[in-house]
Amino acid sequence: METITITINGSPYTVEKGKQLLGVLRDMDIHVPALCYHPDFGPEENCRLCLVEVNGKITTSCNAVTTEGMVVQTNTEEILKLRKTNAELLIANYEGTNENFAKTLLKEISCSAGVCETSTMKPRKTTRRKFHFGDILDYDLKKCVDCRNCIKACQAQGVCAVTIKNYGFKEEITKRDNRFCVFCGQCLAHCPSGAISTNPTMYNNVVELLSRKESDSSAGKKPVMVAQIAPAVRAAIGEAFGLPYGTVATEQLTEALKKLGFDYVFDTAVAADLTTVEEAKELVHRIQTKEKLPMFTSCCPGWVRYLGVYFPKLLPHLTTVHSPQMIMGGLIKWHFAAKKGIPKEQIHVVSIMPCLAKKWEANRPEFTIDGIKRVDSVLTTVEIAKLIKEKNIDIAKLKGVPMDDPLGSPTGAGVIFGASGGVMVAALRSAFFLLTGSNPEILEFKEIKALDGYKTMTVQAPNLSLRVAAIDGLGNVGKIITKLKDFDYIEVMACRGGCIGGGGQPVPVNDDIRKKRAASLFSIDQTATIRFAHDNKSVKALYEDFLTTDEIIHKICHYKI
Amino acid sequence: MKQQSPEALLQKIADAKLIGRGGSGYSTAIKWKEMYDKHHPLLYVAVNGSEGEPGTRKDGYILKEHLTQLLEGLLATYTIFPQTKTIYLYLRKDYFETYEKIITAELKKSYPTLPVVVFKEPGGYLCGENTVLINAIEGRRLEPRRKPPYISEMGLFGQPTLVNNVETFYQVGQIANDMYDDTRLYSLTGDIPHTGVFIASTTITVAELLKQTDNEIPNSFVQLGGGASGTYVSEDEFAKTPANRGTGAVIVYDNTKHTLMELLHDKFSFLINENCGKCTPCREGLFRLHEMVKTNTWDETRATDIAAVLSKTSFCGLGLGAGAALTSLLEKKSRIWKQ
Repeated sequence: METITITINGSPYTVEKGKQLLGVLRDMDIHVPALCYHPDFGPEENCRLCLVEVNGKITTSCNAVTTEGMVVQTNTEEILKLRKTNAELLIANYEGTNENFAKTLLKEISCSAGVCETSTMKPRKTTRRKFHFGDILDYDLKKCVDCRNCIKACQAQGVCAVTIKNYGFKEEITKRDNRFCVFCGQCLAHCPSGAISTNPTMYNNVVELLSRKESDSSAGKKPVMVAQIAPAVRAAIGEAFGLPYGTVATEQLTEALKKLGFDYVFDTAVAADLTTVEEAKELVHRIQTKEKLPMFTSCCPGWVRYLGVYFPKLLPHLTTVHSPQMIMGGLIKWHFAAKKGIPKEQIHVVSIMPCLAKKWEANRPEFTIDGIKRVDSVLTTVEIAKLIKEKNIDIAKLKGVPMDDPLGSPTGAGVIFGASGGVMVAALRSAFFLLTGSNPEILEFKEIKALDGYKTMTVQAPNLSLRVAAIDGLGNVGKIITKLKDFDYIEVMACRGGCIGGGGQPVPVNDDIRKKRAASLFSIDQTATIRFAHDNKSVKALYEDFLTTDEIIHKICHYKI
Repeated sequence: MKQQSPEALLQKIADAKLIGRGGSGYSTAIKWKEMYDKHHPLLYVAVNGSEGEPGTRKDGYILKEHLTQLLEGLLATYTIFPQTKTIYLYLRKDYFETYEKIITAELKKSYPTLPVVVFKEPGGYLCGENTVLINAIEGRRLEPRRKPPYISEMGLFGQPTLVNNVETFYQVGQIANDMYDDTRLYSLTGDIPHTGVFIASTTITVAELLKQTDNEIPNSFVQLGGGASGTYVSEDEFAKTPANRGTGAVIVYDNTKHTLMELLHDKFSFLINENCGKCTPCREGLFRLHEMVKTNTWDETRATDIAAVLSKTSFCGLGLGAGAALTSLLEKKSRIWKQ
């Protein structure tokens, strides 16, 4: 690393040479607003808010790099004025109330450029259309401020389902022909203006059921509300309530859900342990029979949809084991309900997920059992935070309560499902056991826990070596898809960082935030007393009480392609 | 063209002090020498005949009247850069339709070795911007690219690319044949009796140019460089202002026939439909300026603010030029309309 001296606002600083100026300034806590620049992508240079003066010339700092002796001014009167004018022009676009405006990242950004209220200029997009991707994502172009982050997010995923059409003030985001959305929601997670939102059908449904539960006195008709919480939600929900990044708020969330009227709250991570055990069994079987290798993980529905849409011939490579969400749905309705004597039809299973594609997964008709849905509604982390806030509950102030038995507690392996590489680590621990009869000494396979693209490694068991890869983000799938023969087992997470960086998680998001969320999940694993899915007592009990035949195991845990 | 070495040709261009005729006023010799010294194994040349700037028609004039000299210029270019894979002769639609067959026939007949492809521009003012030209030829969305990488390093199909205006290549042809006499082509339009393209000295003043072309009219003012990006000059400045600016367009107005609002309306109506939409000053700023004129809510303070972001913070030359033009018009308006 070569260091150089530059002058910022009259003071000398030693900085790294050739670094992006905007990043350097932000690292020093020197405030420069930026709307279209997102650290997940390169500079776009559209918004013209991150203006600074470099050697007397006004330029955008997102595309400037540090050079020896450069003289930077960030807050001259002229720069502040130019930023403010551009912010005013951008905000004039925003078609919405001041109240809604206040909730957007756009407001935060424009306010930092000196414009805190919606404009007096007439919004120019009042007749802009809306469009939808399935019943998952809604685009409302009235609120779009043309930052194009959605396009970049979709491109980074290798999906490219949105593009831009028309020119000048008529420019607008549109669906791209012959490309299909995989519902990863990364466009939503990178939209600063609220133009992209989650389809509210499931949210409204849950709100209605909860209120009916409150008002309806006839016990027989009351819906029994059962929630399940995905691993990654616990590491991010706190952000929506002002808690530091990476705060684990499992029990606080459980308490909040109970206050909202949920009768039972279960941990999806327990089902993840079951997924792991089944998936490890299948992996061992495929390795022994040399069939359909490499095996792909299937717990990420964005990935499953991506594979189905863009590489349908590879679908047989997917493990036939259901995702933890679907297994938990099955366990709740077919096992827990029976134990409690509640009719399946009366139960409404609500998954709290970091993910939009989980809504699609829950609605897949081929995943029903005897025509009954395993999971009835899926709410994202952002949606449940909104619901909790609307009931004036502050998670930050709750002490927390434990989740419900009898489905028990997860192992560390189940919790790390929420972070990239976690599913693979969990499955390898159990596969190692199945292959060798003893647990491996190394529990973490550190080499594959990474946040940059994809990682590969070879796991040595006494009589064979397993070649594995973990792909972090759909945009990296292309790097592996041409070398499938080199691997036995491949984990794919659609979103960068895995579920902790999911499209349903709170914004803003960037690598630092993702790392903090992932670190929380890995620390839960490291401090867990049980770290092998196959050692989970609840899982063992399930195999003894409920999953006693191949038929029932397949019904709950596997699907046919 | 007589046989000449690349070095000799480059030296002649340097001696002629040739300035590019596309509008940005950069030294052709410096630009070409830099390219030459890098000894790229492969490069592309694009001849920019987009000529979208309102009031400019010199490139069309060259295609019509001096095609041979233009092709001589391309031959000289190819002599300097024999590693050129393709020379794209990038023409606006109407030029392409009118001249494509003639050019192709002439190439076949007299310049069979030149790797020229006559390319039909998709259309629009912005297509003349050098990086938009690259995107247009590659079939991408018509908007400017981020720099760096500069197109001289990574342009067409990822290769180094030399882009110059039609007139620049024409003048290189003149230089190669020792016929260059420090003149350029001026396009004269507006409220004058003799519109057209005139060849005159690069140092001629506005007053002299109007006199030589018999175009002196009372109560006039001019816009120099082009209808969208050109800056305004009031009559009292004619004698000391060189007409050599931008693309060489000189638009002459009779101030009794035009009002400020009408001029602004024409300008913004053109610009809101011709910008790409990428950056805020252009997309939003031009829209708001147009809106203010159209709805009779002109607010000079706001207009000045928007002109400032256009001319100082736009992504590409379109916004910068539009901003400079507006700023100059607002500054000059009391001198243009004296009463």
